[in-house]
Amino acid sequence: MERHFERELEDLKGNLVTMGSLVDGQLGSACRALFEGDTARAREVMDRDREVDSFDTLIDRKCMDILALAQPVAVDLRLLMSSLAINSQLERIGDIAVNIAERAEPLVAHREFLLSTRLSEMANIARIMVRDSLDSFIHGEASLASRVLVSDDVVDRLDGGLFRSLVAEMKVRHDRIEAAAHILILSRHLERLADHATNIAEDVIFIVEAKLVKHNAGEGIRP
Amino acid sequence: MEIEIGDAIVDLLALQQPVATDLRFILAALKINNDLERIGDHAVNIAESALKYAGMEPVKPFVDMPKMAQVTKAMLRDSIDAFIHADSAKARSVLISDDTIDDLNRKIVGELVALMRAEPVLIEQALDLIRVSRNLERVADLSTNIAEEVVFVAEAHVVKHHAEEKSPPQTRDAGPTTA
Repeated sequence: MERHFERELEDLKGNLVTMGSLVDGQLGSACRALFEGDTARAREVMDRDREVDSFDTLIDRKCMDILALAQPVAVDLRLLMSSLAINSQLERIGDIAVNIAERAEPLVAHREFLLSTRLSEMANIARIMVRDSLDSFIHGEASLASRVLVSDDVVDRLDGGLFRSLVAEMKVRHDRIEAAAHILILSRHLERLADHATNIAEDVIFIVEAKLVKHNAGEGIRP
Repeated sequence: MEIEIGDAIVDLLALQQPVATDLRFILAALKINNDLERIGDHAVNIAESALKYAGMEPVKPFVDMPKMAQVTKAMLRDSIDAFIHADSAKARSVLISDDTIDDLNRKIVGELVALMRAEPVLIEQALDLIRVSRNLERVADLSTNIAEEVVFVAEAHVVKHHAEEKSPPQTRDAGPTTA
């Protein structure tokens, strides 16, 4: 019974890792589509979102099955709850990838302006945060997760700076108002992306701490 | 409050070890808890924009925005009512309203962008209003999420991610945790 449960948890983790990889790929494609003005790639991202959604449903179901059948308590319950939380975060990150891809087409004609802003810098940092938070989950590395939390401030500051510089730009370049509005919205999406990466990192730290408790509790205490 | 509810859920799961409908209910409560916290965040965003906006010259008279706010508030109220009363029909009615909100948001943002081009002196006000519109749209979206969870609890049928399936299924889905 014990080993079966452990195997179920391993399967669950495997699903989360696969979903994470898928979502990371979506983000990469979405950003490429946006900054390279590649509308075909943007459409691929939008189409692939249903795969992300399928994983979300699958993982929710698996968590529920494990909860119903294994009825875990204490540390194992904590692991399961964190898995549910990470699943949600990944699904939302997937949605943000779609949001980014959707802005590729309207900005195709404004690439020069787009690339002159700090948006791509922000996108890179946010993407690295997502990747690091996923890596920290795969390897159970709390220190990497902590570093993700620190990056969140950088993204918030970039978001603020971008807002101010775009408003100033809009006032002198009226022909860029619409493009600037799109870029402002994208900035918000990236800021939320960083937030989700931070949430995953926090969940990982929670899980690692739970495992430490489990490890320290020792074998003899288990019923 | 979100943390209190989260803790209560963990306790319930650990101590009562519920199955089937109860388990679905508790897991739905977990997600709804999360959605409500995020709705709170959007309310704060709207309030922040309202504060900024109040300090500036007002823009053209509002027509669509109050309507959008009214529909959004109704959606939120209905989704929570549906949860409290386990009212699947009411929950489905919330799902239908989401398109209205999406249309209104698009219209409002389009008009505000046009306004910014026509009167650049109003750029900052317009950006605040765009922010409000987008935050209302997110609240409506989250209310829809809550409604989807209600349908899931009542019917063991996953509605989310399937925008085309807004009416009840012909046959009952045999979920893994049906009693």
